[in-house]
Amino acid sequence: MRTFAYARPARVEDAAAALSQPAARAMGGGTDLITQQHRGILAAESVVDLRGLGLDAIAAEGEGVRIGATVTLADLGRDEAVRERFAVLHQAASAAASPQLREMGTVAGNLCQQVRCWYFRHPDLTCWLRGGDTCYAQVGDHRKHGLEPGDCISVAPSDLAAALLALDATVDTSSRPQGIPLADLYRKASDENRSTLALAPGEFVTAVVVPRAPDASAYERAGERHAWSFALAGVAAARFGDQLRLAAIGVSNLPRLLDPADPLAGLPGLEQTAWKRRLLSGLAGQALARVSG
Amino acid sequence: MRYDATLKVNGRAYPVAIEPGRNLLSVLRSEVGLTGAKEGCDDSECGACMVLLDGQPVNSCSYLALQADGREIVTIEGLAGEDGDLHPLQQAFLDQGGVQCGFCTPGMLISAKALLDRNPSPDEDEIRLALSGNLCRCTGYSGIVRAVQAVAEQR
Repeated sequence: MRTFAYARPARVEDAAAALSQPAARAMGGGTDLITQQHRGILAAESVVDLRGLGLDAIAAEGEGVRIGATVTLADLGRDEAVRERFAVLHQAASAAASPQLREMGTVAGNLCQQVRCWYFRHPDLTCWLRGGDTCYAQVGDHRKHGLEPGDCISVAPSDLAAALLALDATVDTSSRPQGIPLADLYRKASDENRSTLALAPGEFVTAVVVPRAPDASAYERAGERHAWSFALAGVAAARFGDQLRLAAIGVSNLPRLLDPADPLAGLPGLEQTAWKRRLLSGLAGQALARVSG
Repeated sequence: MRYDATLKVNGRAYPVAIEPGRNLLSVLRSEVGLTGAKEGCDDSECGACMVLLDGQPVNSCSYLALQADGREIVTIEGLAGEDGDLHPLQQAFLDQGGVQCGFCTPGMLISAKALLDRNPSPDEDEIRLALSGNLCRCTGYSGIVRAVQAVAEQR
């Protein structure tokens, strides 16, 4: 593995300063970052461990809940209040990765993890998203990729992102403590900037806030096996009174809000992914049925 | 640059000076000298590298050694008693045919111990879920699940 400097600051300002350095990367549990660094697909010169910042609390806030950035997926999955009031979040947190990786992985790390694509993660290829010229998936094997044409057709893998998007959550960052809508944490990568995260240099997620509890919510997910597999697709549904919110991962480059009346809108499918339209349609139907009042 | 850290492994403190990029597994195997935890996939897929960190199972291949500084680590070497008596889970794995080639066994035992420490009487689904991050290519898992069930029933 390429070597790097390591820091574990105790204050948010110090972490932001350390992350403003070139090729500095924020780390939560490290489950995605370290494997990327290890394969040589990431060349961080310094790693800033955010788990010394004390951002590891789950606390009621108003009618909702505030979840610290470095809360582990396991602790989120074990939280009784979250299980009772935000079922979709409990279900998504408990479905991600393996039980052991959930002890390591953090909420912010899960939201900010890189896309799943065997070309992106190949040590010998530099695909478009990594700064190259070619999206190898589009000319190669893209059976498990997205339903939406674009420069990069890999999929956003964060189960939590689907749940939090359905819950209309906001994200607090080190430089925007007042919070931004979760959808604004993400951006379409462009030729000029290949990142799918809309964070400025030095900026990092400090907390996720769900403003209010839904009347009902549910997460439906399909993977190659029930445990320890990335979602082929995941759909989160939440009902607030008569308003439905539906969100999906595994179908698009970014976590995506779906139209409950037409979940497949804007997702035509690609040559090898048309089958995923049926999967998405089925998962959306199941999720909506579980929240119908 | 090397950083000083103290790894507390199986109740003993090991001062080490390590590069930040070193994973916990490699430091346990090389500097600490405990080779029970195995490197299988080196990518968090197989679970052969599992150790307990403050009682929770983690994939030590994808965990920086520096992240474990000052925390309580238990490896497979920490399961048996000081007199060499096997941990009940270890004995049950032998009795129930939960071991064949043995490569996954240290990781399986660590995940099983974490489960029983948290939930002394799990049902079969809970056992299979708790071990879902550990792959075994020999046994077909039945003997492993029976072994965990047998220990749970003794408790």
